[in-house]
Order: sequence, then C-alpha cells, then structure tokens
Amino acid sequence: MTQVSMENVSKYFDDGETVANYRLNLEVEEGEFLVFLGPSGCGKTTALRLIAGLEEPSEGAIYFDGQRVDRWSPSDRNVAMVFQNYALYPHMSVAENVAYPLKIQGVPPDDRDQRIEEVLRFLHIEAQASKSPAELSGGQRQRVALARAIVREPSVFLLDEPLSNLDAKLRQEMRSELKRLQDELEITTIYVTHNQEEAMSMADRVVVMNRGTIRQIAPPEELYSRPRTEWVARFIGSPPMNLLRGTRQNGSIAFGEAGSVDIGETTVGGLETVPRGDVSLGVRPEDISIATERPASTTAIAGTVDTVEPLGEYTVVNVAVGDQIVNAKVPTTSVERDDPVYLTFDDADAYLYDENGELLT
Amino acid sequence: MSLRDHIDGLEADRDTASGIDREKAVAIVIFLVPGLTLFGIFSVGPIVYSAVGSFFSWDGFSMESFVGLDNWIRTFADPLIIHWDNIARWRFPMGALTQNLLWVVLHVPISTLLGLGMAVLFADLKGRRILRSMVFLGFTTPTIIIGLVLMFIYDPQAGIFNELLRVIGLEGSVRNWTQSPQVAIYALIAGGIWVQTGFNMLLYSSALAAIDPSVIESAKVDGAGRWRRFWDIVWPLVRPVTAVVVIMGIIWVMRVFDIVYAAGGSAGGPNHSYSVLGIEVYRAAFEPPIDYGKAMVVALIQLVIVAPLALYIARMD
Amino acid sequence: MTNDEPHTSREPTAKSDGGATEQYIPLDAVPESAPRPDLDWGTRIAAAVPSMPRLLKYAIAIAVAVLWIVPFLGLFMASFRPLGEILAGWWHVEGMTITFENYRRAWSYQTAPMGRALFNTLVVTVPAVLVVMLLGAMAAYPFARFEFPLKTMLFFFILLVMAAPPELVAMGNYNTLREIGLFDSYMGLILVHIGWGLGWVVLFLRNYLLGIPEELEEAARIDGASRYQIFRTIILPLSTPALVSVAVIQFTWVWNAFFFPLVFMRSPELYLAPQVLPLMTGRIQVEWGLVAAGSVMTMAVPVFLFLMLERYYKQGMVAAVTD
Repeated sequence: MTQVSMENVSKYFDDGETVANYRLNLEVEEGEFLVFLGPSGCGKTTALRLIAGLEEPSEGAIYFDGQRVDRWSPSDRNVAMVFQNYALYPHMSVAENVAYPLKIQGVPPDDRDQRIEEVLRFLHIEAQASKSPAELSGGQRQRVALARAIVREPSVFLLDEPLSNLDAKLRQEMRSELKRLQDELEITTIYVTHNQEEAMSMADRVVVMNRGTIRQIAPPEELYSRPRTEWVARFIGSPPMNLLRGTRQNGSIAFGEAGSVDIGETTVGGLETVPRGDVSLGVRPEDISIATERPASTTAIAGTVDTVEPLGEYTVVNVAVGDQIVNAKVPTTSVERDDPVYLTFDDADAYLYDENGELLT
Repeated sequence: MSLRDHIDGLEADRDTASGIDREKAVAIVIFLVPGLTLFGIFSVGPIVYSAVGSFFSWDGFSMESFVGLDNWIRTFADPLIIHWDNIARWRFPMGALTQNLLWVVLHVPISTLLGLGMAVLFADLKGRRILRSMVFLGFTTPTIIIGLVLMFIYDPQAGIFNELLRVIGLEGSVRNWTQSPQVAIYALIAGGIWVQTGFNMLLYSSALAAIDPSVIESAKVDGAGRWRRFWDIVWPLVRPVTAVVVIMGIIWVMRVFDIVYAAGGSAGGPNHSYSVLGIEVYRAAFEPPIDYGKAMVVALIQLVIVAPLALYIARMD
Repeated sequence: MTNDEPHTSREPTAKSDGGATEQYIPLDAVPESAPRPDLDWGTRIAAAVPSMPRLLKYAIAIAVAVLWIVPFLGLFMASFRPLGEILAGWWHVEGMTITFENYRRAWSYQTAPMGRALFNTLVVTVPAVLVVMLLGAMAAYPFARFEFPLKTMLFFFILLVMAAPPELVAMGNYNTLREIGLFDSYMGLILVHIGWGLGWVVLFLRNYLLGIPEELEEAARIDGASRYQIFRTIILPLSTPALVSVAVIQFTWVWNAFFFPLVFMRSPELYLAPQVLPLMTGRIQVEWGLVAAGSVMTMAVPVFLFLMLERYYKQGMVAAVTD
C-alpha cells in the first residue's frame, strides 16, 4: 500500500502551447479508491500518466510514500496500469501476457506459473490461458488486462477508462467486480473515467476535473450534496441540477416575471451572508415538487409546463420559467403541456452560487 | 389466381432473374476484356511462349523443332551460367547464376538489417520525414543512373570512394573498382544495398507506425527497459514484415540488370566477371549469335527461383 | 466524511515545501499556454538542448542520411563543373567553376539529344500510365465484387507476372511487335508497358476496392444507376487516393525503365532518356560532366514527382507489397 501525492503539478505540451494540467494538488490515501472524473479533454488521463511515469511533470512534484518519484521511470515506481484499449501484447497468449511483468521482475518460473494460475482463477479466465488476445471477447480482454496488472502486486493500480469499450450490461458487471477486487486487494487505486455513475458507485473519493484543473475533491455523497461550483453541480446528477439566474434583493431572490423566492436556510447556511447582486439558485430536479395551485409557501416559482417525459420509475417535467427550462423529477404527475404550475422546494435543498460560479457559504 | 397465371408469373420471374444474370455477365466481360486482352498478349502470352520455347530449337527468332531438355541441359552446363572450376577456386567469373545468388546472399540480409536499423533509428526523431526521404531517394531514381553513379563513386580519379581510401591511408587499395574482376561484384552489391535499404526502411517504418503506442507504454509500466521492449514487443510485431522485405529483396536482386549493364555493358563486366542472369538473357536473345532457347531457359530460371516466394507472400494475406 | 462535517475540512492545506499550494484554482487563473518564467538565456538554451544520448542519436541519424545522399550530391555537383575539376574531385569546392556547358552538351548530345530523349520518354510514359489506370480500375472492379469463372486462374497469372523478370517477356514481345509492325515505335513500347503494369495495378486496386463498403453501390443501384454509372460515379471517385498512388508509382517505373526501351527502341531518334545515359560514358575517358547532367535531367522528373506526392507514393508502395 502506497500513499501518492501531487504538489502543484503542471503539465504542458507542444512547447507550452497546450496546458494539459495546471497546479494539481492531491493526496491519495493508502488503499484508497480514487476516481478522476471529468469531460473528455479535461486532463484526467494526463494526470494518470504523470502518476504512472509515462509523462514527466513540467512543474511540481509527485511523491510515493514521501519519496519524490517524478523523474523515475515507470518501471521504478512499481505501478500497474490498465489502458483504455487494454494494450494486450497481441503476439503473446493470455498466460504469456500475464507472465510478462513477472518475467521482467525475474520471478522464478515455478513461482510465476503459480501466481498466474491464481490470478487467472481469481478473474475467471483460467480457461482462456492459452488463447491469443485476438480470440477473446471484450470482457475477457478486460480481465486479462486486469490480471496482468494485479499479478505483480503493484503498489499503485492505475486504470484509464477501463470500462469504456464494454457494452452497458458488461460495464455494470465489471464495475462491481472491480470494486470487489479493490476491496480485497486493498491496493491504492486511481481510476479515470468520464462516466459519473462509474465514479460515484466505485470511488472512496472523486476528483472532478475541468480544463486541466481540479474542481473538487470529495466523497461521492458530498459531491452530490455539496457541489463546490456551479460547473460541478451541473456535471453531477442526472438530469443535472437546475440553475436559475436571479438577483438577490433584501433576503429574497428575484427571477423577473417568474416571481421571487424568500430563502431562509440554504444547504450551506443563512442568506445573510450572501452579498447583493447576481446569483444562481441551484435546486436538484429530485428536490422540486410541482403544484398547480399557488402554495402558501413563499418559495414558489411560477412557470409553464413545456414537456412531460414519463420514464416509468419517475417522470421528468420540463417547466419553462421565463426563458429558462427547469427540470423536475417527480414520482407521478397529471400536468400537461402549457399548464401553469408552481415549483416548490425546501430551503435546505437550495444552493446559491455567486457570479464566479462558486458556492456561497 | 388461375394456374395459368401462376405459371406465367413463374416464367416472368425466371426471365427477369436470368436478365439480371445476363446483364451482370455482360458487365463483367466489358470491364475485364480490354485489360485482360493486353495483359494476355503482352505478359502471360510471352511467358507461356518462353516456357514452351525453352523445349524447342531455334533458328534466330523462329521456333524450329521440339528438342526436349536440350536447351536446359546445355544452359546448366554453360560456364557462363555456372562455372564449376572457378567456383571451386573462388575466382570470378563463376557464372551468372552463381553470381546472382551471391548477390542474394549478401544483398538481402544486409539491406534488411540496415532498413530495420534505420526505421528504428528514425522512428521518433523530429524531421524523420526528411531523413527517410533522403535515404529513400535512391529507390525513386532510375536504376541505370544508380549504376552510373556507382561507376562515378568508384572511379580511380574522380571517385569519392577512392578519395576516402586515400584519406584513411589505404592508397594501395585505390583502383577502378567496377572494372576489377575479383572485387567489382562486391562494389556493385554495395550499391544495390545502398538503394534497397531505403525501400526496406519504408516497409519497416510503416510496420513500426502500426504498433499501438499503448502496447509499448504498457511494457514500460510493466518494467521493461529499452532492449527488452525492442526484443519482446517491437521485434515480434514487425517480424511478419521481414518476410515481405526479404522476398521483395530477392525478387529485386534476381531481376537486377541496369546496374550491371551500366557498369559492365552487355558482357557483364570484364570477362563476364559480374554478369547476372538478366544480362545473360539479354545477350543470348538480342546480341549475335542469337540463342533464343538459352535466353528462355535462363529467364525461366529467374522466374522459378522467385515464383514460389511471390506466391508465399500472396498466401500470407 | 459526511455532510455534517464542517465544509472547511477540504480547505487549502499548506505544504511543507513552502510554495503556495491551493487545493482549488479558479478557472480563470489557468493560463492559455505555459507560463514562461524569466530565465536567462543560458538556462533556456540548456533546457532546449536534448539530452546527450538523444543528441547522439540525432547525430548518427543525420550522418547516415547524409551519407546516403552523398553519391547524388556528387552527381549534382559534377553536372555543373568542367571535367578537369571533376577529375580533381568534386568535393574540392574552393575556386569552383559553375558552368551549364554540360547541360547544353547533353541537351544536344549528337547520338541522341537529351531534349529529344526526354520528349520520347514523356510520350511513352504518359499514355502507358493513363491507360493502365483506366483498364486496371475497370478490371479490378469485377475482381473485387463478382464471382466469375477462371477468377482464381487469372489471379495466379497476375501473381506469376508480378514475380517474373522483364527479361522473360522480352523474347515473346519482340516477335509479337515485329509481326504486327510495332517494333521500334512508341506504340509498341507503350503496349508492352501497359501489359506489364496491369498485373500489379489490378491486384492493388482490387485490394483497395474491397475496402469500399458495398452498401454504397447497393444504394446507387436502388437509386437506379447502371453498373457502368456506378463504376464511373461511385467507384472511380472513391478510389482517387489509390489511383493517385498507381499513377505516381507506375509513372516512375515506366519513366525509369531501362530494359524494355533497350530491347524495343532501336532507332536513335526514338531512344528514351535512360537508354541514352550509358552511351554518354564514351570509350576512353568518361565524360562525367555530360553523364551527370544527363542523369540529373532524367532523374529530376521522378524525384520531383516523388517529393510532391510522397504520401501517395509511400502508401502505395507499402500497400502494393504488403497487402
């Protein structure tokens, strides 16, 4: 088990023309399952490659257990990596693929064979041992890549979008299997994905990245319940959080024709601390109720039903509020298109973000 | 629907079906015939003609009578093709076939290794396109010019190779390399290697470029150093191309003509000392005394050596 | 960690090395390109120079590439210098005389003027390339799409011809051309080149056509196009990259060919450029300047074509031999 930390790590490409990562600060605890989550091009894969040693940081330092490693080659770091396309050696059989890292480490053949057998059995691919990668299904290749990574008992386990090439059903299966694997092996694991469901379901903590920087590091529940910026709020959750632009005036927030809401206690405290000016009010679709009559509560926003999407488990109602659309996720509803409705929510479920998109506290 | 109608319907179906077939057949013929006619007359025909003609006696350019294996036996006994006495003493000329095979033995492995080496050397350098084009330049040049350039390099006065020998203090070795019977063939083979290396490098470069970079990175993460990465990953993945490189090299060498002609004319050097099979075909067929029978046999020997290799490449697909 | 914990728990934590580290950086603080610290030139140069082993690799690579073109460099230099200077060594550059005399003499070389020879080469090459492209594409289409009798046997013949040395067809073609009266004529040589080139072109284009989805043709058929229209409007336009490859490679081969002209062109006024060059070497002292000037003129065309269409040339070469 190894603890990994990054200090002010930046990575530039093309002679500095491209900024891939900018001042990453991060600590990964021993045995932690950490997920880098972000849209494509946000620099999450580069961050992983920096930890693997496939790239050298342009600035900053990377530590493994307090030892500075950022000039070390990958082979000196004892990391294992699963690539997005698995990167199985096409000219070697499954068993040879798994044997390769051990062979390089100079593990004696008998010991090697035993460990390969164990790991193949552990991942249920012992029957494929003598096949070539080309003969395997996507899921089997995935398992071989995993087997090759864990067989050498690495100190850090790195995975780059390992499930993105699998179909939906298999992805679900592998997700829980990976989680089980990590629980049993207790290897420090860093996992890169653009799929929030994957991140939320597997991670101990999630690192949300955008434009080469870390936007938030938090456990999944906190990420959901306390998104630090408007951007993170919109990125996490499905459908994403509603953000209504309004103006803060004397203890209430005005939304033009749609009315205004008085907010007592938001998720992060009283409104007194909020400065005057433009703010965004964030409410998750699942925290919104729909009423056809104006409710007594003062936190009600008027709108017109735009579309209704019954999804079985729940129904998504899209409500036009001024020139914005607000999603509400409700169990059932009788409203129809063009019905005038009122949206209500608990003060405690509301978030306020300032002009810079930072959560107001 | 009456039975009559039903039968009429069936016939109508059959008519349209055969109509499509006929239309398709006509189209195939129209597409194929012009090309295949020329291909047949000017390529396949002459090969068959030579194959048949090699068993006949010839009077100048016209076929006379069937003589069985006469031409073949005569050709293999011809010291211009195989000179057993000189082979035993390792003196040139050893016969065109022997000399041609000597080309294969030296040229093919050396140019293959050099091609691979350069492909690997240039693979990750900036400006590799320019470097590769510089090495490849010789392959786009007419081979007759390659031959003339070789004569120029090896010229006793104007040649840079001899100048190089003088600079490093080997004045004694200065000579007109392409006209010295015992060494000229090696000088020409060096020229062949010079040209073919570019082509081999091109094939290996494209094989290297086809390797998934994450496989190499994976080996890095697995702890493999530079050498292990080459021998365990890169080489096994480019090895299949080696078969192509070697076979193309053999085909190229078995056809070599222009370089030898430029340096040694239709005699293939002083006393035929570096003649090759192509030169022998030319002399037998087009310089008096005309011996079509022998020319055909020698050209067929060239084909027989190479054809199985070409079929092997085609089968690999 | 739960919601109840104070949110300050993830606040910036100061790090040991004293440098300012913040957990979260505002997005607008991210620069568009790498910040350039004000370094003195020494440091900057040191950072820009690659490491020693890499430098050595560059040195070797450049040395090898230069070594490989030295012969051509010599040829080029010689073409602009008088014979006296060439015999003294073209690598001596001090006091160099540059003259176009060699080019002038080669252009009007008495046995066969290069001007005329280059024209002859062009007259033979252009039709030989264009016709091979057209007939090759036509023949490749059924090979890629349809089953027909004798297909396997035709394949075998194509491979056989690709392996055969040009010497093997010389005798038969010599007699054929004599019989039909095309010996020692442009047309005769063009026909021989077409017949010789068709084999590889058909195979090459067939492999390319196999990669074009058949659905495109089916869609066109449903739209009512005939097979000829499909060929003209779908197949030919989609094969453009392959046809360009065929054009450059076939052009260089026909242009560079020496053996076929040597056998089939006998009148000096019909000589092709590669054929003239060995004649220039003369009997006693080789006229290096003349040979060099003639060679530079002859090779300029294929080399220029290669440099212009390098990508197609290389792709075509690789595909032709490794398919």
